[in-house]
Amino acid sequence: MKAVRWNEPAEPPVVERVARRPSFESRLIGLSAVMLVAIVGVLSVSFSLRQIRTLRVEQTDRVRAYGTLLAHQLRSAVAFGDRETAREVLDTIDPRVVAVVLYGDDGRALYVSGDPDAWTDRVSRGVLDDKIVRTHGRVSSVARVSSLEGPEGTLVVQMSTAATLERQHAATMLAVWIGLATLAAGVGGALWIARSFGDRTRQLSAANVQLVGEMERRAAIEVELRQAQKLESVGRLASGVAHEINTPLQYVSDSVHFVQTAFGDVMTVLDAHRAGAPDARARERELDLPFLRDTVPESITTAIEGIDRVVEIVRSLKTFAHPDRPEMAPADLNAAIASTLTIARNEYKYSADVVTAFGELPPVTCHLGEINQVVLNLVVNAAHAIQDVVGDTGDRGKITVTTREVTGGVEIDVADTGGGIADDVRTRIFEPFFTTKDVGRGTGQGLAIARSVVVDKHRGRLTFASDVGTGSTFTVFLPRAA
Amino acid sequence: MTQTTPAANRRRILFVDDEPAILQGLRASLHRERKRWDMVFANGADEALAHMRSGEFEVVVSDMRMPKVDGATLLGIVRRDYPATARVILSGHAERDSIVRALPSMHQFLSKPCTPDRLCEAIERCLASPDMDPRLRALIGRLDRLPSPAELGGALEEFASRPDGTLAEATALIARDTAVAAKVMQIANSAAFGTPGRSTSLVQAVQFLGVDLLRAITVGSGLFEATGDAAAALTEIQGHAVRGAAIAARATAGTPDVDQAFVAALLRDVGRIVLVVGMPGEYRAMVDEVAATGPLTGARICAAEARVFGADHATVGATLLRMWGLPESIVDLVAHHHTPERAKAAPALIAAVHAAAG
Repeated sequence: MKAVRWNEPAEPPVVERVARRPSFESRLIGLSAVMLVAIVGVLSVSFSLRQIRTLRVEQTDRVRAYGTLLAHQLRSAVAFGDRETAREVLDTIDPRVVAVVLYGDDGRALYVSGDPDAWTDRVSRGVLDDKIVRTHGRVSSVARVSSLEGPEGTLVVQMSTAATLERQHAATMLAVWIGLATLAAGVGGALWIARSFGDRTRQLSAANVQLVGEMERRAAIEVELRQAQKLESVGRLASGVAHEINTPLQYVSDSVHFVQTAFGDVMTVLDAHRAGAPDARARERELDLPFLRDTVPESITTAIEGIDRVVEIVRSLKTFAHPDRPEMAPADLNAAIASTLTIARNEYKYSADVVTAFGELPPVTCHLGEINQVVLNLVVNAAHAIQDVVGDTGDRGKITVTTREVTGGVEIDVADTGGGIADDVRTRIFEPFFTTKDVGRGTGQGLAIARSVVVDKHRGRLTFASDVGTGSTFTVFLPRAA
Repeated sequence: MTQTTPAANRRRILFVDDEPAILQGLRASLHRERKRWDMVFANGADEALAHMRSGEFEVVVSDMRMPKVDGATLLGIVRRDYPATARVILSGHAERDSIVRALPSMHQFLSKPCTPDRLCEAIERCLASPDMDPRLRALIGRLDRLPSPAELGGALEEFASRPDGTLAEATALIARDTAVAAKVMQIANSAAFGTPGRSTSLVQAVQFLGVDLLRAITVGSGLFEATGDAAAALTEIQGHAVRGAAIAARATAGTPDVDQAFVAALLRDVGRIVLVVGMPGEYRAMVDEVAATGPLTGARICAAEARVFGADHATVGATLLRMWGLPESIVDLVAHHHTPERAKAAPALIAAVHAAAG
């Protein structure tokens, strides 16, 4: 028992190749890492920013508190316009104070220390009151100095923001670096992910293209195989039909040659008689007239029979090779099956007798050429099954072809008295390339194509019943109009 | 279906087919030969064998595909039991499978439809040299192939086992081997190949058969080896044949006869192979005797062969090749390569082959 199977393609399957690339899971982990980096980055930056803000508030609070404290200490000095007292108080102030200006009640500066900037003028014009003013490198607190005695002054304390700025700067730079690093990591990661997703997408689309190509290739192969099976059966038919035609041609040729010779001989003797030749009688005896009398008419009959036989075969061939039209057409299946049996005769005549039991059939709308092919495949299979059983014993099997009308359509039975189909292959007989026949006797396509034609194209059914040792019956059901 | 009582001087021919109309047609169309031939028509192999048991036939013409016992099998039985009977296939199946299957048991292969003239010619070929010693005839009839010398057989076997052997390689091998060349010419000239006319060129024949069929023919070449006396003689004959073929080809170079001269010279000693392989001891003794009494010339050997075996190697070879269906022109050259004055061939051609015979 041989099962010719389709060879696996040399390349590994596409799915396997994709699976060898980084998995989707590893990509997810990468993505999570990038997100984590981004979150940490954002948190760090916002912490830095908060830190900067805190520094600023601290500085402001400090300068304001300091201003308030000084203003309190300077009350009496303001009240009495006492510069000395003011100097005493202010000379001992915090070294972080870079400039102090005390304005008296009259708006004149009672005391100036350091290098007060332009703000002091604005303060002196009374624009500002108890404000915190920031200028380049300084933060200024403007405090009202109210003495119990009545006169009021204004104190401007300017502190350097350099140290704070330094810390702010450090925090800013940190935030910037963290931001940049996060950005870089994010962008890089995003790019990597994008690329790897891109890779995957490309792989998938490549795999997809390949799969589509593969499917197209398979489809093309299937078409080719179907064509090949058709050619194969046409080829074997051609050789079978050639034999079927050569045999009658041989006896037609022999008979006609004989009649030609015989007629020539008879005419010669007749001429001799007419001419009154002395050896005419002897020549007539030579002629073996009794043989000619029997055999000439017999030969003519044989020749006519032979020609009829050739004509029938050629006509059947024409019916069988019915050109397939794109649309289905109503057909007389009994006549078609009879023709198919005539041209397939060489396949079965040495091993089996064919019995037909054709019922009355309505016209069936079908692709007749394809249905002929199906019947031919079934008949050839039946003949092979019988040959396997009878071998060279000279015994003959029987192929019974039955047609009948059933509800909704017609049924064609092809039954043989072959060996039946073994249980272990029953489920596989319709698979393409499955065959139990020897190489060269079958491609394993016959039943697969038969099923495709009957089931897929004609919405019919192809079923079988088989008894090991008794034979098989294949039944084709075709709906009247597919 | 036996026809009339056999007359003593008529040649007995048996026709076998499973189709009664074919037999009837043959009986009618061959009626014209009734005076020379005693023809029997058998429906199927069983009937044919029954006829053969009741009297020997000189020729059997059988259909190929018949129920139960087919033509190849029938002719195989005939070859085994009646080796002197010539065997012809007349088949409606003209494909190569049929001929490969029939190859070992048939002498000629004819395709249906076949005209009475063509059939008669094929039968006549088998009936030639009627007075040949029956033992010799059986020897010729039984041969389905001739042995190749050991070293050539090995090379052919090697070729057959290789799937990539080319036509050129095959041609080179076959042009050195009388045995395989004869087989190739036989098949190329069988009607199964639909050759237009008979093929007289070995190169053409090789091309016509194709590598696959050549492989089928050459397979087993190494298995059929002559031993002892025959092996030595075979190697000598082979060398002689190849040298002669080269001489004949040189002598006719540039003329249209060159192919025929080459083939005829290569095949001219095919009869010696038959004798050496069939009766090695006797042939050796005969050669020794000729050598003891004088020079070993072609004429003296032929005379001794005719005396000892009833026919010289030229006649034996010609009979074999004729039975195998080789073109009559080549058969003629082989038959007369020692007696050129009797050949029908053009003087230049027979002279070349005669010169090759040395």
